[in-house]
Amino acid sequence: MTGAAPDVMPPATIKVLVTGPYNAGKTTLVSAISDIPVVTTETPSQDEAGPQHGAGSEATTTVAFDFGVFTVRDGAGVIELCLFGTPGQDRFSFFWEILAKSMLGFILMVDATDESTWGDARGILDFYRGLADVPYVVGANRAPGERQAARLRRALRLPPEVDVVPCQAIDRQSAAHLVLVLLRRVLVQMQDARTADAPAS
Amino acid sequence: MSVEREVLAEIRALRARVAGISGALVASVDGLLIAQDVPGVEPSGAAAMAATTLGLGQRVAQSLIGPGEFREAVTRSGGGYFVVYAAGRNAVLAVLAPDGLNVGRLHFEARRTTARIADLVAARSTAR
Repeated sequence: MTGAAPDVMPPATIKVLVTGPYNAGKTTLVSAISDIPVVTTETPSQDEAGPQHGAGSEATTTVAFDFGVFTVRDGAGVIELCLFGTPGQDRFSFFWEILAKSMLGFILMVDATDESTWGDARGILDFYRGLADVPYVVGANRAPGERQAARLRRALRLPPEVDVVPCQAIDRQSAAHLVLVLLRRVLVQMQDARTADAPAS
Repeated sequence: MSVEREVLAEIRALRARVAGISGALVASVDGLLIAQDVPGVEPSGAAAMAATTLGLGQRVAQSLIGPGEFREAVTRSGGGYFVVYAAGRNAVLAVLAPDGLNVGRLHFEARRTTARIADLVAARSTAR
């Protein structure tokens, strides 16, 4: 490299989905980490499975999607991670496939404190794994520690190479850590694909 | 009469006032069916789609169009129409119709229907 200033590279844009059962913390995660004001489509919800809401707060649910952008510096370049949060209830499953177009990876958010939702989490995981062969990580939201994350891993019957990351989606640093774990896997997959496509020397 | 039956009566009254409607339903804004008259269409899936369409439409109106209240979202294909209206803060009215519908007339008549449905649904929430 000479002393000349490097060319300005346009940011790479990487689309990932944030999915998981109702009330797992998807919208919370996207909101915590987005550099732009997050686009949400939440409505009041009468759903029974909402144990986390304190007195005076209203249960809400995403009916279309959330959208946020998280900008990351990667060496000399910039990566714009576009995060699409999906609705959780399976009556909105018609929309899951629409949202998944061109995704390079996904985060499965699961409420680590509510095992009644883990069956739904498993169903959602199977759905997305069936759609696309992309990297994913599991966010064990509200997990008090590694033991609950390990229980979740067993319940989801995950392959050993899939990360289960205890997190607090409401905390930006914790959210960023989770998203960066996924990003690393996505970049490795992209690099492997490039290497595979490269002409033999 | 239960709220659901009264809402169904409003749906049927709208169908009587506007020619060419093939079906209509009312759902909660989070996608749960309240009442329906949609022959040949799976109503629970349609209810969820109506809620998604309304939620997205309201977000578009607020973020992109600017000041002014959301009115309706119209999906049009070669086969006809799917029109979605807010019915108060907690419900959505969705209307299906083949091509040939007088859309202006539907919008006009739907105003009365959505106002009535909004009152009925609000009464239901208070009663719970």
